[in-house]
Amino acid sequence: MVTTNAIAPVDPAAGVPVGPRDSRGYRLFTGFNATALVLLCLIMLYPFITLLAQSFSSAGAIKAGQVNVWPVGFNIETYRAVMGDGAFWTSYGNTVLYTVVGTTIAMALTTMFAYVISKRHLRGRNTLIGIAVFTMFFSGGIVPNYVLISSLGMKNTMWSVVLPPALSVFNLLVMKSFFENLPRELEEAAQIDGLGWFGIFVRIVLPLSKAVLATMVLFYAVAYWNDWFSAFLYLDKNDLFPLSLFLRNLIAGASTTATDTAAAVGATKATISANIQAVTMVLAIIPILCVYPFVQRHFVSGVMLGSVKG
Amino acid sequence: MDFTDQRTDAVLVSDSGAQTITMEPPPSEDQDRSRRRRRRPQSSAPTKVPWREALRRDRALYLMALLPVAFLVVFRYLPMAGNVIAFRKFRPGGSIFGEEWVGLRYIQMFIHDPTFWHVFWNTAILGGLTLVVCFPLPIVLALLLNEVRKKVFGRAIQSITYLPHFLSIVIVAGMLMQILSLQGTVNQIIGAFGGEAIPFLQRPEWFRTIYVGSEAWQTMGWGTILYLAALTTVDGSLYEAARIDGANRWRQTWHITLPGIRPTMITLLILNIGTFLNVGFEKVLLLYTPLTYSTADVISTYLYRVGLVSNNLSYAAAIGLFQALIGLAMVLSANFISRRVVGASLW
Amino acid sequence: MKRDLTTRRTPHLARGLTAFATAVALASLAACSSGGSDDNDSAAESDTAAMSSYAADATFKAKEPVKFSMLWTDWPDNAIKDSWQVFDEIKKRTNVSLDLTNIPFSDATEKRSLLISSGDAPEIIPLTYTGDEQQFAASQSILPMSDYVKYMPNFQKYVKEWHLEAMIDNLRQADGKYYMLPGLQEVSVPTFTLIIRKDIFDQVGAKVPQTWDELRDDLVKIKAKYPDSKPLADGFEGASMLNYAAHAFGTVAGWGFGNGTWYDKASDKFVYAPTTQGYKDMVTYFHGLVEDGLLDTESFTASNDGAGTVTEKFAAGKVFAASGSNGTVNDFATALDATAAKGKYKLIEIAPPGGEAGQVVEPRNFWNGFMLTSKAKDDPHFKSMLQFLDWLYYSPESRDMLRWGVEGQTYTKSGDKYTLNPEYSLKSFNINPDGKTDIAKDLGYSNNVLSDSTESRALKQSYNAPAYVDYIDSVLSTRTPRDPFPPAPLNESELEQSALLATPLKDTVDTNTLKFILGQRPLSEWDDFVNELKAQNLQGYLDLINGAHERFVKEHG
Repeated sequence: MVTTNAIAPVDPAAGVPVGPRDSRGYRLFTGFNATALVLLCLIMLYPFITLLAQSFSSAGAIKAGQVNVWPVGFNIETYRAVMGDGAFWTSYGNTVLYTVVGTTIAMALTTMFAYVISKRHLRGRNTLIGIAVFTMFFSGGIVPNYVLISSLGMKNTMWSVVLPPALSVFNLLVMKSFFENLPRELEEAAQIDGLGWFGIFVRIVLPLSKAVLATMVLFYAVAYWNDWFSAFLYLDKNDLFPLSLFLRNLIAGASTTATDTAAAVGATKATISANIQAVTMVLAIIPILCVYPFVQRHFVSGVMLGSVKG
Repeated sequence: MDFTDQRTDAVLVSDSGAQTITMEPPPSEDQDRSRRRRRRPQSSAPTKVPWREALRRDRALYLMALLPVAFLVVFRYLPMAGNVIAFRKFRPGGSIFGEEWVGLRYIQMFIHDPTFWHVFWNTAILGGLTLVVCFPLPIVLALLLNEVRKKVFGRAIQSITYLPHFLSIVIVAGMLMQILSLQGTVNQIIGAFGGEAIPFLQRPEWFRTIYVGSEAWQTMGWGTILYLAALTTVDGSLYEAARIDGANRWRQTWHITLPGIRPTMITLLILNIGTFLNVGFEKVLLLYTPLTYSTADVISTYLYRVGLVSNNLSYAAAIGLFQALIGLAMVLSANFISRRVVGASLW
Repeated sequence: MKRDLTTRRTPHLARGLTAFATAVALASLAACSSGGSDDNDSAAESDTAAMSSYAADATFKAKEPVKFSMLWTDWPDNAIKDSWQVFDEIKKRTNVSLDLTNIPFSDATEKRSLLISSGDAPEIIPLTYTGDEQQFAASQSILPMSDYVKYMPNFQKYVKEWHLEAMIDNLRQADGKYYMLPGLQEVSVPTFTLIIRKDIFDQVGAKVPQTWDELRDDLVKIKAKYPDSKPLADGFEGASMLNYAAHAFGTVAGWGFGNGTWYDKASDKFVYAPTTQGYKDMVTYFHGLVEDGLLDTESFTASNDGAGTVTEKFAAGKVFAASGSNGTVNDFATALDATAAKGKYKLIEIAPPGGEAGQVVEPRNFWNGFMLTSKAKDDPHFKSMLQFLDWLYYSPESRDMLRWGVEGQTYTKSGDKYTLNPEYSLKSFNINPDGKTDIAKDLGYSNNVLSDSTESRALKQSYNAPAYVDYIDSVLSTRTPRDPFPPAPLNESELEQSALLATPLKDTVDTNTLKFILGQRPLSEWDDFVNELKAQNLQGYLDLINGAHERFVKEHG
């Protein structure tokens, strides 16, 4: 019988309480550690604070370089202009749809393939890995990909955005290494109990891999969320555009001093042009900030190991 | 240092010299040992199983692989045929497979172009530096985060450190130009110490530092996510056992944590070695100026300038194939070396 | 629009893969199409919808309703709305309805190139600038418009009336034909020039400079009063200022560098501009400015986008003259409004200063026009298409409509004066900002795709701000455009070669121009620099260009 006695999860990030065995050196170290990390955070955070401030500032203040950490000339003009545009919400909905569908498909393909190639005994395993790795380096280029999608009739459908990026060999290989390091005893025990490979995959392997699965969901979701290139290539209709393309378009159109001499005739788009980049950044990153804590929750260890003895 | 034999390394002498600590191999050591045995490169199974039996035994596995492989064939391998334009002349608007065979003409074109080799070396140097600097940093950061005592604090910090990953390149370039300008923050600090302002972005000797530094800043936090996920797979009871035996935190990190995330490190290292020539086009384009061409110009930006005159996709395809071959060779070598030296590899 | 996602995919897949495989098979029977012009003529003549007596300045109206496909670039702040009237108006007058394929403004060139390269582009491609068509000419994926201008009376009339024949000649490719029709401009002025703070100039007693030497004197006066400033800046990596300055020194540089050649009339040969005395004098001049602290050196390597540093320096009172277009003027104005200078500053665009070559500015230029993809030829209403485009792009009636709307409804016209009716606004040009309906956003007139290309002087000045009109007048009255160079079109394999020769040469020029100007390299090494160029096969490059020039003269006179 396979028993999975859950040992009380030990989160390595919880650290070890400083006790009598920990030297003074270690205590100093934790002090330095905390300081260094806080400094690091400031360096990472500062640009965002500036961007956030700029997104709420007036055009003049931004162009005059007056905005540092606090908004100057507080206004929500650009937010209103961007979010008041119906196209913004349509593209937002599109992105959510593409991300959810895309991530689901990608996870299905990647986890299955990673599991298969993690089995060292499998005949032809190296060929399968080679097939995947080869595609990391050789690709066809924009025009052949476009012709392919066009021939498949996928232009202007959701599938042209969702399918082509659906298998990342990088993610595949990382997942494979995680699967390879799961204890064989669990699988062997399950095999004895009569489970086939697929059953083991679904009932044993996946539940034990929460951390890497959560990570891959995050990676794929972020990739789909930010991908504007597929949409740019294969979608012609505005109401199919994802948010990333919508925002990119907005930024390009708002630039009043483009070096392309074409764009610079007589336009007064000062208000939007000044902080459109800041606003689009903030709008694009908020969903990720909201979703990430859920991913972090899965970075808790220990359910599996030590649970199989004899 | 050798992570291979945990048993031997478990015999430690602490700093104070007084105690000799022996680590009792915890239960899961068995699997490490058996893993080690299986690591010998000769064959993954004692004997090669004939196909019929393999198909019967692993039928479910082959079936599971069917859809992904089909996906790869359709969406990756079919368009690869377009690379034939490296050997055929491509005309924009003409056939996507080119008009006529020109053989090695485009290959020779870039081999004989001295500017190409100059930018090739720039690319290799930039890519190599990025690899050397940016590969260890997420590991270090993940380990440091691992030592943070208050869980909430650690999580908050980790969430903040990944934010730069999401900044668009345009914004990052804009920020860099501001910070590094003659009146910018860096020069103000230099001035405060009595030095003279340096026009960083106009000096070729500074470009590599700026590029690699900003890459590190942007990728460090995001890179920790994978390692943190890997850290969760390390058996907590190992730490318990080590602590009972008197190992301090540093020893624990060295002998438990690092080996625990070793598979992830190796996978990422090999993959990054393979892709080291993919130096970011947009970032270089935004940051370079003719004054810094000598160190900043990379293959993709050079091709961009050449293409402004005549949109020669055949030439670009030939160079792309060259880069791909190098990448593939690097991955294969890295994999081979890793297998020999460390005993773990991608395949 | 959410389609039914579950059905249709599998059968399409099989069909699609077959289609792809067929494409592979067909492609291996490499056949390069090149239609003879006889085919074209007979196809055109059989068009039932075409007008038989279509002439210049008359309204085109197709004899039966026809539909043409057109590529439309979507500006995000001027997206097509249901309320738009411009397409209805076109249909009403001409019986032509347009089937639009939208592409986003960002990366529009790449998308357009992809569509044409994969054979998927619509028939009419607007927003084509001179030079855009070159890469497609060789594959015959676009049509040689020179074969068809006989059907286009408006085009021919205005080319002649506005003396643009020599410039049209410059559009010819190696086979002697030209492959796009540009937007014709009765007058053209440089888009980018020097913007100055007139109030500061007045304050120090500096007059508006007519030459670069006068500008230098003005800058010295300003620097005396504002010693912390570096009064002159570019903001476009130096390329903008060097461009409009070069003409005054008798050379080409920056954005205007082109293929780097300069045509020497006396010897009827092309030489490499950086090897000429004029180029050296220009570099020496700017170096002098740097030496005296008059030029902001950062602005010669940094661009204005994003960080907007020159704008910030303008606001901070560190820069008082910089390069820009009328869009840049707005940027500077917005920034200055946020400072204490609000209400006190005055920004004007001045005509680019003259120099040793005279009061010379860049040659006249075309504006965006259109090209036709090869599938247009197979349209049964091809001749109507040509007549329609002739009307749309070159007839005064259409140009007025595309800019101002419907006479009587949205605007009134008397003589050369156009007045927008009070209920209507044109916010992008600040006309009637309080009007209820915007003719651009709500009705689709004055759009960026079709409305800009061809303009008479009167039309051009009718909608621009008075300051810009002053600028136009000052350029036209005090400056002479340089004559364009004669054509020297390269054929396909020459284009390939020239790309590989020209790029390293240009890199050396760019790098060293900056080094000399900024003082990183002493001007005494100028001859070394010229020798470095020669060592990069400069002669081979020049032979290529001159050979093409001689060939063109021989074959096409």
